[in-house]
Amino acid sequence: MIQANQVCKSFGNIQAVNQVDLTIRSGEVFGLIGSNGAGKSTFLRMLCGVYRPDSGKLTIDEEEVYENVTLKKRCFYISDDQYFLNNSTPEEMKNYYRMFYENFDQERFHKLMKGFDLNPQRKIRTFSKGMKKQVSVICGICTGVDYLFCDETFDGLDPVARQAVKSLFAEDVAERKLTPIIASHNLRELEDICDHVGLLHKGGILLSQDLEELKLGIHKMQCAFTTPKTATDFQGIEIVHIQQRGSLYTITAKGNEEEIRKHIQNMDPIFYEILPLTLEEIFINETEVAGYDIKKLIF
Amino acid sequence: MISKNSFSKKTLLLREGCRRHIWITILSLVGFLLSVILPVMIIVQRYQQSVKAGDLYYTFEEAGRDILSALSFFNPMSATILIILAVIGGIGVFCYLHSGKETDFFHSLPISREKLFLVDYLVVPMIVIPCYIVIVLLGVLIVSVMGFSSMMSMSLVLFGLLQSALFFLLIYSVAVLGTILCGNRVIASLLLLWIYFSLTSWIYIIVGYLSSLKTFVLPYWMDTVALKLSPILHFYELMSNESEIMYSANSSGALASTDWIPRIMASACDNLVGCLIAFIAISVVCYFLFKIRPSESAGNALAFEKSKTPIKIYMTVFMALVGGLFLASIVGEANNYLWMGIGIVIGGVIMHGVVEAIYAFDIRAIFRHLPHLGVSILVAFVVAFGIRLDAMGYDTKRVELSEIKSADLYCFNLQNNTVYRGYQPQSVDIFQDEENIEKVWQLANYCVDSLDQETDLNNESYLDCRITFHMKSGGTMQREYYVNSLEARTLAEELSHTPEYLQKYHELYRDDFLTHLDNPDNNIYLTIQSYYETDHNENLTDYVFDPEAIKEIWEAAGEDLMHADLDYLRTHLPELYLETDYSARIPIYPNYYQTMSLIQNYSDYQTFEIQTADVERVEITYYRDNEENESMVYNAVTYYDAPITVRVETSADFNGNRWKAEVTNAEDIRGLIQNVVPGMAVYSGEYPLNDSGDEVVLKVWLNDGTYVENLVYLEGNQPTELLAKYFAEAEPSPI
Repeated sequence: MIQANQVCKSFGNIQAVNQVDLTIRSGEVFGLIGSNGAGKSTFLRMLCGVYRPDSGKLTIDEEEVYENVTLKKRCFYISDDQYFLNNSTPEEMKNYYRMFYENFDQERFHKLMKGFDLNPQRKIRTFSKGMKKQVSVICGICTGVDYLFCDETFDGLDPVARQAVKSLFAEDVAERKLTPIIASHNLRELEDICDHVGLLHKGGILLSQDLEELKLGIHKMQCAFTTPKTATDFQGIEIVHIQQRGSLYTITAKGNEEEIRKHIQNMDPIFYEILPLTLEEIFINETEVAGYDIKKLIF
Repeated sequence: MISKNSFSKKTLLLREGCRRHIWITILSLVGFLLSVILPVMIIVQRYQQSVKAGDLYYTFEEAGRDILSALSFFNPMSATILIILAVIGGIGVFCYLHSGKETDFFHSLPISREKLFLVDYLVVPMIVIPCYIVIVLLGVLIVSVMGFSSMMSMSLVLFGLLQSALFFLLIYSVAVLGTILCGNRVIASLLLLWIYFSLTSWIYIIVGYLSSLKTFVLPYWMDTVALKLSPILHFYELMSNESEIMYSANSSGALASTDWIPRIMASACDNLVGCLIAFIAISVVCYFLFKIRPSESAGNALAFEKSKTPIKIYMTVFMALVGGLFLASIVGEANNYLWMGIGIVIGGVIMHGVVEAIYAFDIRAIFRHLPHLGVSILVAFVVAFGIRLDAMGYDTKRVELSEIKSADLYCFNLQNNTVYRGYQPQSVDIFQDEENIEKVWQLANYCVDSLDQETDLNNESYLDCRITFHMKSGGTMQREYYVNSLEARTLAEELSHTPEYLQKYHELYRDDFLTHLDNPDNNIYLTIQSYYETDHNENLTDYVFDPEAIKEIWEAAGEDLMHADLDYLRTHLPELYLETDYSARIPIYPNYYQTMSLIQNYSDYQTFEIQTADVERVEITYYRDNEENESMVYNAVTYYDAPITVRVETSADFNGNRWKAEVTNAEDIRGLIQNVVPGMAVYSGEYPLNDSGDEVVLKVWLNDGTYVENLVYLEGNQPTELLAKYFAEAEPSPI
């Protein structure tokens, strides 16, 4: 289990991560989402022991990560901008990783390389961006670590490769309780795979919740009324966002779906329906509440 | 078991590191082949050509020693290659710290920073040093096969390898330090230049300011210390010193023996120990810095935020001082405080701006942190003006007589420096006698008292002397005074003729001369030469070849000098001089009876005199200064530290400044040659005399067609009327 307790990290005057409290259970896929510059990559770098937190406590299975070699053997970091040894091939990278990760599964490595149609003897520098990502993921998976920290890992992967990677993660989560922590902007991708999401904004954590719970706790509803409604009419519902176009209202609200539905019915709508809410919409709504309004960016 | 695993993992990582940095191996092998094997082959070929030509201009022994020195201690080319490899290796291996991507990769791996540092740190030495050893040993093998095995000293070769390896490691550790300190490759390279050379430069900048003091003497150890502060310069300096030992052995004929080899090793021993200690210390610093270095500093100018201000102030103060010294010197007045101040401000502002712009990677940042600039300029002002205004009382410092253990005096303008051994930068204990020490102390006090007076180089009371006091406490105080003080001058003259002084400084008491004389291989012969300059040498020069006779004459001259009256030496001209290949010219005075008698015994030398009857004509050359050309004749004290008036003749503007007249009238000839003396004798005696101002020089043509030239008059001995008469007839004689 990963636990962050009041973790802070700053670079000069910039507060990259600010008092983050977070718990990530082992064996679940954790999606780390957040606005640009929210501190996702910094948080991941602290998790894998590259950065030392300025304050607070960051532990994996109750041990601090920084300079903890034993613990780091159970972690693998796939950076957004991966580095491979100069002029190396996947085979050489595999051999290099084997020096650090004793449980490196060579057989699986070759199988996956073949599966992804990658030549292990070819120079990595000649690979495309997506192929390099695949090599990183394959190496990470084959190290046999318990924690896999992925920074924008799906970025650059084609749809087939994305699905394949997701399957790989799912397989390892199911079989050996791998805990992938995936930082991404691609919320649609995370939606498919994550059990739990953490939303970072301006260095702080806005929410951390099971995805299902999150989806159950926030709802989007479209309804039409014969008479115009004011905010006071919606009192009793925790409105996150409301949009009116004529007599049509689109409401995003937190709370029990049944209670919201009942409240709307009592307002005598011409019609109403519950719409599926994507993670992206949840992200926009939550960050908007925290002052990150998309409209401010555009207008 | 754990440690065994750990060891094998380190070995694996090290091997992987070497593999990753294969370029260092290739560069090392190519560099050493070109810098070690190639020069050795050139030496061998040169020797073979010499043998083929049959002239043996390059002997087997010389070739062998050159090969040995190239393979061991003296090979500037391989030293340069080692330095290049150390610098680029240090930067190349650790520069991943400057890339965020690479830092993320390496620091996320399950390896401790200690181990990561150790593996990275060892990679370059593990490649370069074995490559160097292999190439040198290959060189030894090649030259041994080619017949030089008898000249090879494996102990010296191994010593050379050790010396090169230690300096390589030291320079490498500094390169690593600079790379770890910075977050950017270009900045690291710039900072390394500072680290390698700035400490040495500091010494010279401070010396530059100190030299404006009236009595400053550059301590003899200053250069050595300054060079030691730069591992690169120190490496070359040590090599050069060792080479000098070998070449001095060569010149003294001791090259055939191997006596010089232990001397080379002994001379380098302290330096190598110092080098090792410095390497260990810097490595430890590198290790700790690497350990605490924040990964996020990749890409920044400096890795440690806290180091920014001290480094900037260090550089700014330095450049401010350089600016001050530069402007003060280009305006031509050593004490031009205004320009020095302006230079300090300009130097400081420029450096501060450059560093701030580099720190921020933004040219607009040049005026950030202005208080730091203020502090830097203030420090520079305090240092520069503190020294220039002699705030520490350097010039006027006096010591207590009771604190002095021994003293040293060297008078630059009192005696003729061509005769004496000359200036010795390394002070020696000349005066141990209490009475003499007190006189030197008194002399120093007279000099301090006269410091504020204006100095006149042509005044007979002018004195330029260097005084050194070795204190009982172990310290040394050394000053050079330029003063006009009759008391000081008189005292200095007395001291310069004391046995203590003469025995330490005079050529006649050189301890190594008799050693050279005893060695028959040196073929020393003694030249006895008149000061008259003629186009014929009969009777004016003679030689003594018998070493015993030379020794006898030499010792007699020493005894005569010791007993000679100071006043006599100061008022009389020497008659002739003695000279050998191993000594300067020794003037012999007419009252050196013992010496003159031996010269008569062992040679055919005869005293020369110009007889009026033998003279056919006299050519007078007049040198007259006029206002336009005044600067062309000046006192040479400024340049030669001796009160000799020399004539500066330039072909460009000399027209009208030299006149010639010819005299054939017998009566006038008699009058003219009555008081002439050889010009060389005037300023070649123990104490140079004053001539007539060097305005008139005579050339006497004899009846047999030969001539005697460069004849002058002593001060006050000129036949003024005759000279004036012929000057009226003289014609301009451009050069």
